[in-house]
Amino acid sequence: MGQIQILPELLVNKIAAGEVVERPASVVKELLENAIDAGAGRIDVAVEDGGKRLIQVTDDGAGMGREDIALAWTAHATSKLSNAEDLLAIKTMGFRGEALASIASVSRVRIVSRTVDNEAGYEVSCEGGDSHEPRPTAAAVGTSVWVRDLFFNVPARRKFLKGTSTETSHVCEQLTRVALAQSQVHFTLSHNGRKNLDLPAASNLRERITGLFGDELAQTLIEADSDERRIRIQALLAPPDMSRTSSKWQYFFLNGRYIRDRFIQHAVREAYRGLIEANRFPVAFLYLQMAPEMVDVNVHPTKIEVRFRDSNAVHSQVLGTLRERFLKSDLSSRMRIEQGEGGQADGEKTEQIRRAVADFLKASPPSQAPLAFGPGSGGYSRSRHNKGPTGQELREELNKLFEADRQGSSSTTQSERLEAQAEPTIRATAAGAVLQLHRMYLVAETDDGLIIVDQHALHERILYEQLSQRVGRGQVASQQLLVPMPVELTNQQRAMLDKVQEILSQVGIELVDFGPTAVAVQAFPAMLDRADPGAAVQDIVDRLVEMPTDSAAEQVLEEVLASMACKAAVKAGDKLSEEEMSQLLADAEFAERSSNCPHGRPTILKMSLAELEKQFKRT
Amino acid sequence: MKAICNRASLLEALHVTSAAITPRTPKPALQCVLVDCQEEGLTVVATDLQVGIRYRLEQVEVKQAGRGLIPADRFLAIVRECPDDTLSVEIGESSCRIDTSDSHFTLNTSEVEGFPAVREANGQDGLKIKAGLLRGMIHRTLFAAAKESSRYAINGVLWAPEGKNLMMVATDGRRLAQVQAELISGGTEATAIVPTKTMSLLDRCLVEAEEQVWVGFQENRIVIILPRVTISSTLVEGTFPKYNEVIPHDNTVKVKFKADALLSAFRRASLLTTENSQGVRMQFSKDRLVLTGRAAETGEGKVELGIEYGYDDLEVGFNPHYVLEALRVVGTEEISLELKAANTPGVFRSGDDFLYVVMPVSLS
Ligand SMILES: Nc1ncnc2c1ncn2[C@@H]1O[C@H](COP(=O)(O)OP(=O)(O)OP(=O)(O)O)[C@@H](O)[C@H]1O
Ligand SMILES: [Mg+2]
Repeated sequence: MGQIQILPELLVNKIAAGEVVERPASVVKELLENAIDAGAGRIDVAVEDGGKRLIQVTDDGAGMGREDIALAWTAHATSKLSNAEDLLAIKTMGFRGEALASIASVSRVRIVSRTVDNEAGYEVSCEGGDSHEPRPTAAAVGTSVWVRDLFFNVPARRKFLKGTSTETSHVCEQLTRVALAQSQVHFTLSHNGRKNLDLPAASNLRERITGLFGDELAQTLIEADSDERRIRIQALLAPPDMSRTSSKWQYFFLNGRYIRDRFIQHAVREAYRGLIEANRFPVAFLYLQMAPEMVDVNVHPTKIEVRFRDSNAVHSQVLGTLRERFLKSDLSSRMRIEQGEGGQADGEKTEQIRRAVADFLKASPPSQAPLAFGPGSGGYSRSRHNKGPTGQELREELNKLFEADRQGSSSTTQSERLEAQAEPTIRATAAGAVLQLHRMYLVAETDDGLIIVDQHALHERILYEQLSQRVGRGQVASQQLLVPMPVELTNQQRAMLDKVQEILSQVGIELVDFGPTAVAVQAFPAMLDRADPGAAVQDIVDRLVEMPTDSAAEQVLEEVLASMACKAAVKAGDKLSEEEMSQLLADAEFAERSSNCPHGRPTILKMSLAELEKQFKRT
Repeated sequence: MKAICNRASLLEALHVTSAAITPRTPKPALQCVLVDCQEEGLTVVATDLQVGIRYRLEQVEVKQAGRGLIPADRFLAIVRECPDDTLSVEIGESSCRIDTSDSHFTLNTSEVEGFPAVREANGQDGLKIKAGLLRGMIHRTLFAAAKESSRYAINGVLWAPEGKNLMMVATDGRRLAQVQAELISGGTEATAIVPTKTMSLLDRCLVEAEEQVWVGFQENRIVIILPRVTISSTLVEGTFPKYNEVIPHDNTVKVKFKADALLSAFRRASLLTTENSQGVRMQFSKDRLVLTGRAAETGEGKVELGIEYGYDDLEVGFNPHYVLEALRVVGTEEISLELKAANTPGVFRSGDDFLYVVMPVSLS
């Protein structure tokens, strides 16, 4: 470690100032990065009370000498960068000389550090900005930092901190990111004196992922590599059936740093397009390596976002690497099998139409959206979707289509439309057989016309209503499972689950502990006999960690029910037997609010005989 | 190539083999059957890459050897509609002619090159079992296997040979069926999980009860050889749940039923239940069983059954489908149910070869 220098004024201005410390997890991140920069081989993190009381990070890195430690929390003191040119070629995690200064101004910090060259170490401490001269002390080589009582002098911020388990889960997530980026470093994490995590130095990424996410996920990952146009990519990709409801399980790293990037995210999405449902997110670990001058990391206060000099090149190389890998892997046959009968192309097309229609309906309330029935809707341009049309584009496209249809018919009166009815009457008449179209929609005759049903949306709504009624009456029948189904969890998910156990048992889900990183499903709602309990619980967990942590119990329950209903409902693309179709329509009569799915989209469109007659000019 | 085929046996061959094809697979070659005609006979081959089947046709008159790929669904339709007892199949460079007495079809065919081969058995080690027994085993297990692909290795049926016995186990995590049968000869003790699709394909081929079936396991595959048919399939990877540990051995309450009486009672008790009701409750009291099925939306049904019962009163609920599915396939007059206490797993047994564990449903 070199000498810490005060940065010249000019450079100070070049560095975007910003909020570095938001919560205990941000402190952990900064301290971890400093330890990594110091070349640590092992880093131990200990937190108390979610880090609100204490965060301690100990490393066995290069350490600091007397001069360095004295300057440690002087703002813009850094050993990592001394002139503006360096800013263009950053190789270290830190470079602003800002983190310790910010942390020290809002907490009680103590640092003990020793370099190999020194017999003894030095200690400094600082309370809300007041510090003292370094004092010699006995210490091992390396650095320990204690951060106590974060925000003790900023009551407004302190009050803003969440409960212990929430803060702990944020800490875990930060550690996970750094641990994934630096698999060769040994990490441990303990909370309130109990060791939560021990990740010995791993010889490869898969090993590190196993340590963090469990064997089940790690074993299914396939690897892809490429090295072109000075961009090196290493990817570990989960098969489509491991997809999640949030993008949280996508970890992207650039030169050893965790980043969020919408270009990369988009490329990953594109690569998986057609292989997973539109509302799911593939699990992927992507490591990018490029010369520091090809990217600007100084655009975000916590460096989580970066700016690529050529983001298109990054996008296309990520996409290309993944696509090529998928094409030659037997994954494709696995995908084909699991996709069931619909071929990939079909799946893409139907998904696209489904989305377009959903967007369309969402965008304009049904009463103002005259969906005139017209002939051919086949004018849809398929080539577009390679470019990934936006919802807006699709809507425009569809609008055009409908526009053309309307012009074809001479008048567009109010009644010439197919509208979502608030209270649909869906009694299929005796003669009324139900017809399934494109494995997505059901068409049935009613007493005075016809209805079109979105099979997934309607079934989802029915299940949701029935479930919530049953929960209300305390009558959820729970099917015990023969063998408990394990569900692997991250620490954050684990912490969250403890809080919602009660709610889950109300809906008939019984969980038991299953090792340190997993729970097992022991009983599951009987009515969802088609769902895979393990996958369903996984989905619930994924959704719940996305929710604001102060959500009320009812909101949590709603989310759980919505997840279960979605999982258990027939999907777009499922072929339904006649019996299933009539059952679905019969159930809709009993279900409340059956005209809209839990997400608010309409489930049933209705057209009366009178409207048909007008359309066909029989009047 | 050219051959005159008996319509009925060609139809049967196409019916069976095309069950291996994944409908609407994106690879055109995989929508075809390979027709391979040699001096000694004609073979129809189909595969979806996971499972492949070769069906040797009897009653053909080979005029000229050769081979070609024919779209399976069209071929099947033509043969099905054919009014004659025989028809002629002729495959040329890029087309295939099918002639009956009054109709002539010319079908475009695809390249044979690249059509995956169905692997043959390569070792001597294998089991031998009578077709009829095997069929009975399939019927009594397959229904309990997981229907949709889940993350667990229960999307298939476990084969566990041991000495002169073969055991099969299937479970979907909520119930488990286990059946045993005697082998003609053993030879391997390796266990394997056979995909459900392969199981039902095999089921279609087991027509003659007395025929011998040879089964071999090799490199993650199962190869099954019947006099006319060879099936080769990949196995389901993964570990099967430890079924022995989930079969309760300490159930002290034993009740005997006439299988058809219990079937009828369960069917009637579940008439008013819906997909999402609380299952059918069984209430046992002195020499009496009352079955109740109710759903908030429809109402309630009650059925009484006189039985021999001298234990403490006991109540347990099951998903009626699980019980009905088993009762339909047991094939014996009597069936027994073993229980331990309220809301504990039930074990159905019939004969000394079939066992079925059903997990209870309870109000949470
Ligand atoms: N664990 C450590 N081991 C050795 N030196 C350290 C350690 N932590 C901090 N330092 C020294 O203290 C300096 C200030 O650290 P600080 O985190 O405030 O700034 P930085 O890492 O240079 O940049 P930034 O905060 O913007 O990431 C570092 O440049 C480094 O020289
Ligand atoms: Mg730093």
